[in-house]
Amino acid sequence: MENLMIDIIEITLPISVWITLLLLCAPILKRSYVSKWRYYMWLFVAARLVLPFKISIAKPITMPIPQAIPTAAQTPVVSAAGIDVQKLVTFIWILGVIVFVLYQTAKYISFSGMVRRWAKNVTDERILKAVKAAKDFAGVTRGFNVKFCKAVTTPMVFGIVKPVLLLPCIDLTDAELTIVLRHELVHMKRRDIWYKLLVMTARAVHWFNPMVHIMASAADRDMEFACDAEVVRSQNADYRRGYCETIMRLVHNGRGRGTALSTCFFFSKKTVMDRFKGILDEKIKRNGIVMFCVIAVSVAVSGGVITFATDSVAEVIEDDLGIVERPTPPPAPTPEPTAEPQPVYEDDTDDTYYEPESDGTDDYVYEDYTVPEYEDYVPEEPEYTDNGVNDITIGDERGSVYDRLGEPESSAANGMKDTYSLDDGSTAVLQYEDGTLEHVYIVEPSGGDADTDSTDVTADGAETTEE
Amino acid sequence: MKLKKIPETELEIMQVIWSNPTPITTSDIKRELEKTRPWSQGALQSLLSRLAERGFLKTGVLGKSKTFEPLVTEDDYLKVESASFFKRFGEKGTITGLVTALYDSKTISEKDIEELDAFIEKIKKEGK
Repeated sequence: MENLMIDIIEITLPISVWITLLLLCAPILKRSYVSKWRYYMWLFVAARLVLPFKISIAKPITMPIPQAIPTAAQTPVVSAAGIDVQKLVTFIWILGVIVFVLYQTAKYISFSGMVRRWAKNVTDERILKAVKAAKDFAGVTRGFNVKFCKAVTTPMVFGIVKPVLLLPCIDLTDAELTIVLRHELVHMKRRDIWYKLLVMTARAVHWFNPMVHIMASAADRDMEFACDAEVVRSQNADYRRGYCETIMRLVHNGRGRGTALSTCFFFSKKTVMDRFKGILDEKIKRNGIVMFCVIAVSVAVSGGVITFATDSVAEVIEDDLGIVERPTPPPAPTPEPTAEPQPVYEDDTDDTYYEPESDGTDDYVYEDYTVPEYEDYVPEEPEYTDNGVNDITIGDERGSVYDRLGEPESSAANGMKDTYSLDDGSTAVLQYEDGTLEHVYIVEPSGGDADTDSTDVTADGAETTEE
Repeated sequence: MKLKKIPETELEIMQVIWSNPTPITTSDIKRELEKTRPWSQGALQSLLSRLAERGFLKTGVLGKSKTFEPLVTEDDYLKVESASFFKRFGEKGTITGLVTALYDSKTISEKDIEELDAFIEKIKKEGK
């Protein structure tokens, strides 16, 4: 649950930056690009906010997090407080989501009730014919009800599952009817109510982030712009003027209904004015498909990049609080085929003891550190004497190795590695996994030649050496 | 006078009264209502008297039958009902986020409407 909260914050922060950038660029881009790309952009952003929480190109290195090691007396208090804060934040978030969803559902049901009370089936042939024509214009194939509704002042499509086209009870001329019906049916064709549902879901999940609510308003506005653009596509100036006049007529029809008519951020006089200007603008604009793709990919990926950073931030915070004592990950091994493999083992008698490099801030030792395997490795014939190590084979039981070589001189603390001294002064390290031999390394004595030979035993029993 | 929300069935009756010439007799109301579904005389009479009690209807007599006249116009009632809706859900934006309307009807002031009108007038002139 706590992780879910972190996932959401990881999404909400970078996407907020994108929303801000997109909003800032919109007025400039509007001049030469169609509104449709912004409409799809918001859809994409909303989907990113709602859908999979992590998309990352570079998956952060996942290290096994060791059990929290309680350090001294302060630990219980601090960790208890830490857990409480995290749980509290998660709880508040869930509460917010529930309140938002309940509020929106109540609003929907209440409006739906009002529509049902006041809706009447349309029987007027003229209107039904106009609806049919608009349906063909928009390419809508599914069925829907058409109703007059006294409770609405402007035509609208309502309903998630079964859409219904609601018309206000005012007389519209044929030309006006054509325009409003085309507008509504383009919405229906594009399934804009589902679009709005997705945006609303993003608002529910990210209710604490004002940028997401601002984005929702911008998406509503750009949805109208995109719809207008489709309705007036390749139409002449008269038609476009008629469109504006029709909107204005319905604006007048709506006045006086409802109470406070304060202006909100997007749906204001300016929005309507911008819509008029957009409708009248006959300039052919670029569709911005390349820009859309570039931004879409960046948005998709940005969540992942920040994932890495915020993870580290979370760790730092936790470390500061002393909640978790966490080791610094050992430096990532750089497996180059030609490089000499680092012998990795613990040995009381040998001073080639390997310890993961660290900045000295912690003393955690990776006992399980596994040696990288080298696949490009070219097997060669062995050229030195040994004390019977040649006879052992990968996959041998530990017991049978002991029978032939005797008890090891030392064993690593976790019992996975045995060490034997060989006659030529080098050391053989036998690494076991589940009681069977996995690897054999031959290590030249330290202080001798700079070369450290490593010998691997291949499956057929031949011992191989790399120089 | 404070108007209360009219329940669904009573609203059906009110809609008949609003959309027909008044005063209207009980039997005329019944005939209009039965265009959609059958009604019982008793239920209709009690609903009518309840509406009259609450101040929606004025009763009168025409010959032997009782007549009814609306005291509240449909528009006024609708205003009250939608106002109560917006009072409950006082969001300035849309009625519910899940409609696609030709325009958002609730957010433009009278002054804004004048300015928009001026713009429309201007483009009309340019068109001619």
